[in-house]
Amino acid sequence: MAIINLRKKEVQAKIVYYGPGRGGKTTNLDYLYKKLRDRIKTEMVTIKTHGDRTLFFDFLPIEIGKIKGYDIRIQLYTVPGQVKYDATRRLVLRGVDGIVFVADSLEVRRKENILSLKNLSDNLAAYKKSIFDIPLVMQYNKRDLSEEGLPLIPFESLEKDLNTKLKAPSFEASALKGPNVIQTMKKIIIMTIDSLQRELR
Amino acid sequence: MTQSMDDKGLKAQVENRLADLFSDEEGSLETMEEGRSMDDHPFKELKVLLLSIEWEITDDAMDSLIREIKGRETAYHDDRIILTFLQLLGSAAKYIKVNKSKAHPKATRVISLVYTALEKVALSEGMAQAEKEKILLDEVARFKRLREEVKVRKEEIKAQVSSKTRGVSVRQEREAVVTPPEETPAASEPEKIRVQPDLGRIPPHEAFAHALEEIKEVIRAEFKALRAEIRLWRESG
Amino acid sequence: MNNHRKNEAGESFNHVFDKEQLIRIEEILGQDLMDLGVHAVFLIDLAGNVIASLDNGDWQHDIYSLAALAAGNFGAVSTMARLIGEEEFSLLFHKGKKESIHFSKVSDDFLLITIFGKELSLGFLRLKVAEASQKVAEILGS
Repeated sequence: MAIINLRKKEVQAKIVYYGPGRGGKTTNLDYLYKKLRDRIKTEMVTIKTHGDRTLFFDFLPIEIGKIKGYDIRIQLYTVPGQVKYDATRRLVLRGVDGIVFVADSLEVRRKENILSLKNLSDNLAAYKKSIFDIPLVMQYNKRDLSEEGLPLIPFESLEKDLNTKLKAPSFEASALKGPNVIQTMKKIIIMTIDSLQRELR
Repeated sequence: MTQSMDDKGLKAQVENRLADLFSDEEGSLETMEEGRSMDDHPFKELKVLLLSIEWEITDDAMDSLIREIKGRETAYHDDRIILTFLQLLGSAAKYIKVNKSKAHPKATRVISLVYTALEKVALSEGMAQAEKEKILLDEVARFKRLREEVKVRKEEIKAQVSSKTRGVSVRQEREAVVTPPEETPAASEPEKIRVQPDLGRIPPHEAFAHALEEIKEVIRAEFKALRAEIRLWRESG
Repeated sequence: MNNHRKNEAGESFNHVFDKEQLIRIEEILGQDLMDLGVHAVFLIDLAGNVIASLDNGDWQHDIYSLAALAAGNFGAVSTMARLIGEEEFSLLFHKGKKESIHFSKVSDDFLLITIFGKELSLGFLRLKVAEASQKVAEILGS
């Protein structure tokens, strides 16, 4: 549910990073925060457990500057991935305008990816939203682990498991090292703003 | 030999430990007495009601509070100091009840502080009369300050009403118009003040008596004004 | 002017707030709450976005993070209420040594967050917030 303020000439939109536990959602935001904090004023808020797992959400607001005379303010959120935090995930999804699905490329996590995507679809439905109607980008994270000899799910298999019907833009990425983290964010922001324009027309 | 020393040492340790553990019990009679006095707290119900309006102000809560204050006034009718405290509380409570969200923001704070002073005076055993009078005088002064600010605020609202062309509720207007009854007794107050000796130079208990008289007048005037407001409010439906 | 769009299921879509609405909202929040001596007041949506914000000039804190956390907090507490069989709680309030924070729902989609100090009693503030929320709800519905 984006907010358009005609007085301040400002648009606020909410993007949520979703996916299975330990898949790299928070790592995405950590990386973005590290890269952006020198260039723009931004603070990252995290609510974590003692074991450093996301408990409630992480939050990173980004002002991307003026576009067509409007200040665009993007609020990035992550959800807690552990299965037991489903009610919390649903809360954080409230008013979402765009989603990045962060899938875990590790072979052993194949089932978790599929279950998490189904969970996303169900939670969106609770808000009478369809996963097909909302801007969505797929990120297949942890590709760097192939260098450590860990078995990864091939790109084609991930696409088949998660993206056959959705046909969302997808990126292979490493949130830890950096490749495609910024590109993922850029893509979802562009898609989200684009969809907002369409909504307003 | 070592064994007997150990025994002695152990015994001492146990004695010490027992002394530590049970030393608190020596105070138990006191705590029992304290407990009793909590039950006998003379303003327990009043305190409960005041605490509840700190959290939520409703008509029922205010009615209960005003009733309780009246009840306590009857119980303490022959204690000048306590009675005056209660009268201050009653006046402020009625003001809040009538004005509700339009009341002066400090009013609830003043009630709370006046009560705290009342409790201090009522529960401190052996407090000197002079000290009680001093505390009451401080609260009377606080009450008067609030009253002044309420007056000033009403004038400001009145001024705003006459200059603004929109945006002020009918109720605000009515409240601003109600000021007159209060002003009549106030007109007589300057007389009183002129006649009053310099409070700093006369004996404390005399100063106190003068202040008491003054506040009695003030409270009488307050009640008169409030009754008028309540009447107008009721009539407006 | 219908700028609060809903789909067939009644779910809110994007909100567009025009100048007139925002000016009127700020007026109400200023007169009814800021003039009392409240330190800061925010009108936010349940997604954590800020619609209007006023403060007393001494305010140094990040309102966007506060808004996100406030929405999350309110959302979590509301969900707990439903879990225990309550429709909603009538009070969400956190008391600090110097600053306290009060949450109040304004119609279905918005929250009024008020931050105030020891000078104001909660009971009185709630009266004022209820009034202000009502007025703001009328503007938002228009």
